[in-house]
Amino acid sequence: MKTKYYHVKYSKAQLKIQQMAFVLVAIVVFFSIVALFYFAINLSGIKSNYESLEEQKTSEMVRKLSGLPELRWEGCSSCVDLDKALLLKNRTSYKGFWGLEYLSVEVVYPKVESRECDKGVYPNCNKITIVGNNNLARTTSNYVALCRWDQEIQGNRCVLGKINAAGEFNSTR
Amino acid sequence: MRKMNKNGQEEMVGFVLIVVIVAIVLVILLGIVLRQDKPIQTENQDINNFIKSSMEYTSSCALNGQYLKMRPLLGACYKSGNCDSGEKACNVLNASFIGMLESSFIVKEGSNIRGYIFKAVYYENISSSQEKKIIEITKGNCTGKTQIGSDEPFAQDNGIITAKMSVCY
Repeated sequence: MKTKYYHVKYSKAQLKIQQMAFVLVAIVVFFSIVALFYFAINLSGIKSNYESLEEQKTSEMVRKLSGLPELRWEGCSSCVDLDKALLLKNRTSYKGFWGLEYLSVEVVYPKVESRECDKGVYPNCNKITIVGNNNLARTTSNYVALCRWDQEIQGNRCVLGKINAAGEFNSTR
Repeated sequence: MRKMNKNGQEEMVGFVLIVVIVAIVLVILLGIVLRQDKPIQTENQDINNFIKSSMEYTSSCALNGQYLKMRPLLGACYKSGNCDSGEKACNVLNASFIGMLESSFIVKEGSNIRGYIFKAVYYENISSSQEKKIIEITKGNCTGKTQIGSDEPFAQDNGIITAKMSVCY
């Protein structure tokens, strides 16, 4: 089969229009990149600001929680009294006190048996849920030291733990 | 007329090539600038809290019947002391920090933490840049985006001891 080649004749004006079209495309591409650049910088700033604010909020909430007389371990700003936390568990007079949907403390290290604490198993357990249940997805947590009197060593013992909270803490406390 | 067409086509191809090259250069520049814009190291409150809380941990090392927390244990390790049990303070310190770090920062394939460096150092004085390493625990590959945290320095002999940590994501 024989292929036919057609020679299209372009006028000078058509070429100029094509050239103009390319220039316009180039300008659009250029400004798109500039806009992309601008928004990327702006959005990265907003994102980091948001992250830093969230971080500050969480740390402030945890600091407030661990500083409350109901949980505080004397002489240490980042410590929670485990005995107090256990006593607060299921205490009906404290219902609504926290203004939180969920609040718990858990032992991170050393590893202990993974189970909820109650007066029967304490201290051979790793978690004390003070408010709510643990089905909430959006909990924030932070590291704290969990301290208690230890009969075995006849002294105070602190372990590494976490305080987990969800909801808005009533900051007027 | 044919020659004229050919010239016009060549001109267009050249122009398109220039546009493409300029666009590629701009994209590369954008990439470089955006990478530079991100801070390599940022302070993280979580890491600060971890260090602060871990310093309150009561170790298994007792001196004169008193079980030591991590700050005095760092001091004991600096002085190459031993616990009442005869065990070296540095060994207990090392084991305790390794345990706390491994329970808190999981470094494995698929996890978002690529590695960490934890170290405690002794300085002769606050303004001194010369540091004497007491403990250093490293895990994984710590390059790229890093978040750091540190503990408040505490006095030891004539100098200070401070603990700091970098976590890489």
